[in-house]
Amino acid sequence: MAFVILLIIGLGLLNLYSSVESSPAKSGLFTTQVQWYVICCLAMIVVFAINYHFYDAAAYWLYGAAVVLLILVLLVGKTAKGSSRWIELGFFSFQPSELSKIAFALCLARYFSQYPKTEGYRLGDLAIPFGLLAAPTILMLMQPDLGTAMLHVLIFASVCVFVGLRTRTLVGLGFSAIAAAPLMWFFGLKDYQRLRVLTLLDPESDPLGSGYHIRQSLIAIGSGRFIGKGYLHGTQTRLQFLPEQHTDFIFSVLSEEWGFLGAAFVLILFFALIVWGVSVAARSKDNFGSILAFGMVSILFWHVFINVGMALGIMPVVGVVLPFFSYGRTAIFTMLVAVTLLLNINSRRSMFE
Amino acid sequence: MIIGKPSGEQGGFAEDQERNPTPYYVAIIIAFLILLSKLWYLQVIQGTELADQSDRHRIRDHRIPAARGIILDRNKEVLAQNRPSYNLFFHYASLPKEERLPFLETACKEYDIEFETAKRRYEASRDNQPVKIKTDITRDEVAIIKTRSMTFGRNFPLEVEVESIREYPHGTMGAHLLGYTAEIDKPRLELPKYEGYRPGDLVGKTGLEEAYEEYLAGVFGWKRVEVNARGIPIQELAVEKGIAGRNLVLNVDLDLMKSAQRALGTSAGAVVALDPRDGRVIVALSNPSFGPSIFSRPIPHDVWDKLVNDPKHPLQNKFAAGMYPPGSTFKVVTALAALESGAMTASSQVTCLGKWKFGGRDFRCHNEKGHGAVDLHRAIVHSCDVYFYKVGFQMGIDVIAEYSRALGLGARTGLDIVGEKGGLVPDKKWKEETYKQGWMPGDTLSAAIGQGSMLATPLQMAVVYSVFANGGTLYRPQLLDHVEDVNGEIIKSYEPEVIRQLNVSKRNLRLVHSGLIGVVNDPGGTGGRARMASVTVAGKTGTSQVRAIGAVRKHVSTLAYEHRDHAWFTCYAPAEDPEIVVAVLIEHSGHGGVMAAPIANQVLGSYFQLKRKREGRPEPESVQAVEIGDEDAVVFEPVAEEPGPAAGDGSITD
Repeated sequence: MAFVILLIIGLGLLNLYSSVESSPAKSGLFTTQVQWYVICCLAMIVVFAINYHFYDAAAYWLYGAAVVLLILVLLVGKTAKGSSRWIELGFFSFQPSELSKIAFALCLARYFSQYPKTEGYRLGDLAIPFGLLAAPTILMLMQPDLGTAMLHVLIFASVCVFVGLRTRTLVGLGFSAIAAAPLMWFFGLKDYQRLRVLTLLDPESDPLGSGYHIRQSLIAIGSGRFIGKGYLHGTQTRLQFLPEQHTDFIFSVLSEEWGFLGAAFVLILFFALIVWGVSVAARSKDNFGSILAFGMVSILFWHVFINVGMALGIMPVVGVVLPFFSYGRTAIFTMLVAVTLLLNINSRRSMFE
Repeated sequence: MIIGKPSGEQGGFAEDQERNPTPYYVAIIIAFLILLSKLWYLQVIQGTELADQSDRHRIRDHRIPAARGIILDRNKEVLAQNRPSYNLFFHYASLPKEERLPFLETACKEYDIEFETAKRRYEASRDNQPVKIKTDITRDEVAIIKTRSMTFGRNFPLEVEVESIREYPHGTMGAHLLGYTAEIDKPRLELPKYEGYRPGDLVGKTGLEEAYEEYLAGVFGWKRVEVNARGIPIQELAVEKGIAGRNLVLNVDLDLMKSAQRALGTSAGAVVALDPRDGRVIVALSNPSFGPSIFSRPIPHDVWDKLVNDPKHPLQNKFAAGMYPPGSTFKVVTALAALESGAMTASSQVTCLGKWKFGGRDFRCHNEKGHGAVDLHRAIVHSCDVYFYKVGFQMGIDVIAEYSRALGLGARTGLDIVGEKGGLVPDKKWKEETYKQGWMPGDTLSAAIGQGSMLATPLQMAVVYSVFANGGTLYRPQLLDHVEDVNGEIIKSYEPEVIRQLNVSKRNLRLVHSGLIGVVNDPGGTGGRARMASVTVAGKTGTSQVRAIGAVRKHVSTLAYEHRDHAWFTCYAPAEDPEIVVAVLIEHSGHGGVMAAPIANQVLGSYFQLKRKREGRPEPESVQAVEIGDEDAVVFEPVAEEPGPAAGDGSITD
């Protein structure tokens, strides 16, 4: 599986190069990304070497640290495009909300493995996990960072399904989610967020705003046709018709230049990674490892599904990156931690006695 | 039941137990199938359409106007050509919204542009299309902008684009003849002739620029440019060069035009010179004129108002569209009609006592004392009105009108520029239709001396006199000699075009012709001021009544400008074998013999001088006009003409 991961990383870098090559202002990002990969990979050796049970012990501390960072962001964060998501550390800035995904998944794994319920969890049993979800999610909505907040909810829901819910609880939660939707729509979302959802339903309704982004993305993807326009020959990309082409819409760059063949190939690689991750979770001998592995898989899966869905126009535009493809230092770190933990759990499966 | 239930019987989380991953695999497969199917739909099913859209976004086709053909005179002197104009464009798309206006304001200060106007244009623009904020910037400004855009790279918001604009090297000279170019207007765009033109294209308007648009315009080229999301050109993908327009070589002689212009000075009027042997137009001048280049751009209001409200009407083409009563220059038509219809022979005599009492009114002659007994020759030489009243009355209007039309009056001559007017030959039918009145014998008397409702353009009178000069052939006047391509290869030649051969006796033509020689050369002839030492000139003076001035003689200088008569002089030379016909009309100046004849004389003088020079022959001692006494407008001897007293519907002069 390490080969698949390296292949994804390699293709991601290749594609990033293409996405920033035409824009002088961004051409430095590729080098930064490569440098950052090198630094992170060294860090991953450490993450891999430590027995994952150490993370079990450190889970609540890490979660606490993540929440503190999220509060710090609101206080001293760097603001860009109307939301404050970064903490400046002089030589570099990072996004606590990215790290929070890992910390949150660790925390859930610890909680559920500490309190196993063989007959499935009831609603009452979920009070504390809900609390664990609420803290980072609310802080993120305050930034506002709708995408990452939504991801936390999805990770939480995935893990809950994995550890097993009572049918009644599941149905109840489903109904409450449906009931909460209108409330969320009218009171939870900001105007521009509502617009993005509406745009999804009818891209033509806002041809110059967020509809424009989707439109350009669909054109980029579609115009790649079956075999693509060729590497570094994506016109939508080179001519900057694509918005956020090195982050949110990086998949459109790939699809334009490599066509259906290339884009499907990358999706299959992600598919393989995720399926392998699920098998790691399924085969892990201890609850913590199993739930943690599943948490990591959910992080990867939801990122891939939402980001690609966004580019394809079947998901609303929320800033969710494509693992190993989008530019972003904290995001790379997060994704590398996720796969390293999977490798870690996988390698210690048989050692756990 | 438990969802996500481990495969143990109890479910839940038993250690050492593998969980069943199948449901998750299924969910993941479904999720990826959703993504893949949408991908397939976009890239394979909709691929072609979306690829087209992507091309439409990034590819802009610009038409490149072809270089417009140039216009040359008969000696290949340039009359109209092109020059590059550097225009400054504001590429606002390369700036964030909030920086655009501040930048524009700074740029306007720096390049001396009116900010409000530029701002209006910016606000009216759409689709990130660059806005033209200044035309014809200086070369220094071009250099500054080029240097800056090198420093700033592709996103520098100012850009210089070069455009070819029409230039007329001789300024206002010949503007009415050449016409001008301007942006095509809505009505034209709808005409089949202008198929393929688009709003904003420059097109010939009026004059030759309009008449020969199809040759001058050439064929548009294309430039396919790739633009980025902000509409900034990134690279040229393909260029298809247009075909340059064809050049027009005219019959017009620029040098002669210039001397006609000098002779006219500041007088409002027109000079037309034709070659009577083939109808080629050598001079076609209307004065005052305008600079045709001003129409290449939006015209400032004050400039436009000045042009429109000028009492001398600089925009009017006086030689082809200015209609005036031809006055006594028309008498040749009456004379020919009389001889041909038998109303009069060459020796028939009429007694002129200074006026003719007819229908209870006095029809005056310009010579109050009367001319005594006059035959045809004397009548023409002294321009005796009474003679022509009587002859006209004898023939009736129908005969006069018939011969007028035969000689080309009352209809356009067919000159190859747009906007020519046909004048008017009044007759019974016309008066009935226009005024619901019957034709009166008095109307015939006025028509016989070229007054009343009779109207002709200077060009028409030149054509009429050409017929007398060449012995009965009516040619279509032609400005254009041939069309050639950029390499000088002749594309199309214009042969002389005979409109009709007049079925009149050569003898009658010669009788009139000798009268015309007398006008200039006999003692007391009204056209003495056109006499030349080395060449025999034949011609006729005329004064066309602007308003009835009453019986009281007034010196022309005491009248308001717009109340003064128009002066005519139409002539040809050399009388024995004419090669040039000149018609001169000076608006509101008094009488032909005094005002127009000297101008015709100067044009003829220059013509023969230029001819000798070009043929390399030594110049004669003098081609100057013979000095003729005083230049006073009121002459009491029967030598020159003067305004006669009014007689109702147009009194008489000459």
